[in-house]
Amino acid sequence: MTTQSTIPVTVLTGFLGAGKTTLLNRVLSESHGKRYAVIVNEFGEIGIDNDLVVNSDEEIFEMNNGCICCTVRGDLIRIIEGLMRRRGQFDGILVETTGLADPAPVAQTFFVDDDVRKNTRLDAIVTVVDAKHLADALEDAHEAQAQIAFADIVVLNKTDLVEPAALDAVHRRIRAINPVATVREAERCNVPLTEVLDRNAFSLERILEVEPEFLESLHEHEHDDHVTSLSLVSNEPLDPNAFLPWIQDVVQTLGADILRMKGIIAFRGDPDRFVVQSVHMLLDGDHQRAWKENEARTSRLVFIGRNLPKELLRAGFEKSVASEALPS
Amino acid sequence: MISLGVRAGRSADLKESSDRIKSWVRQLLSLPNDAVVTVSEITCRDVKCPGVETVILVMPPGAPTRLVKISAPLLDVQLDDIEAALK
Repeated sequence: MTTQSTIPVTVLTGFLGAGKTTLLNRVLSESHGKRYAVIVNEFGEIGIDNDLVVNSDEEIFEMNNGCICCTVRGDLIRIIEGLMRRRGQFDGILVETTGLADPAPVAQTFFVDDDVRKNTRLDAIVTVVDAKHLADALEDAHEAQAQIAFADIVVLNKTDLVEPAALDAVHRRIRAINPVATVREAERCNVPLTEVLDRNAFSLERILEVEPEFLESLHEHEHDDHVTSLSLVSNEPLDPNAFLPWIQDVVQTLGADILRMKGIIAFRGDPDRFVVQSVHMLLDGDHQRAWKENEARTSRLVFIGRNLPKELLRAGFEKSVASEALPS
Repeated sequence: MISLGVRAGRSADLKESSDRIKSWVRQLLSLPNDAVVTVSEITCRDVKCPGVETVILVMPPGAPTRLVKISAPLLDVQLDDIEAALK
């Protein structure tokens, strides 16, 4: 999906007041050795005069007939095309979204439009959340849940404003929605920029780069959240002839509700890990590196979405487990 | 993104076809140099969507985006198709 010559794009989401602008100003002002073109909604919020800051007016439209996965941001296509004429003046692009933005059309722009895909690669979706007000935001707007669901990195900001027990509850809430994002605590968005920029999170090489013991001990969380997750694990190898048609059918039929999916699969008789990911109905998967000698060949698949038919998904996954081992 | 197990190799043929389509669109609409034209081949998995389509976005500066669809793979799009779609 990526090549070295493409420009990395970081998408910055988060509700109003969470601290996005603070993080943005740090990217623009700190000396980290790289120059970022920044696409913002409001010039006024940025405290830095910089000719690489570009204002955008959200223009959402459907490339296809009302299908959610072909909904893209036209304004981003325009701006990125313009920025490509200034190639060489910056090392990466940072896209700030409005507080209520649905991250899906922003992310899909980088997979659906051929010209954008040719020049850029989606590096990571970074969501800034306010530790003190996250619970209220999650109750008030489904967009807040979607922003956490889509995140590769969650910057849990303003941790100094909450007690340890409350902070622990916020962590659990985030994990219930998105068990695979990296969560970094921060005060005044003081997270190291190396932890949010140039992460290559959409690379198949780095899928599910979370602590394996966390995934293994992952339990289902019961919340009233609109967006939830489902983690499926198998220590038995899967049958590619069962799994591959099944996962394509799942993404095709349930993709409107599946915001993101990530997985590492051990196929029967296959020396290599197979990795898979999706954003709504946009599906990507391929063989990755070989399983290491002492590595447990465990298949893990995580769905994050709305109204997930968990029993149906679990049953489908279990049917993909190879019924018998190949003769040795 | 792409189908499972099939890497997205953007062949020289695709690039050539895409550039040719952009050039035709620019000529037919007499677009200024700073207008943006993008060409994408969309293969959607949604059962409600048609099969393979070529989607052209025409983005003149200061004017709304125009979306033009042609029901054919990008490599098969001909000048006649674009003339008909732009009418």
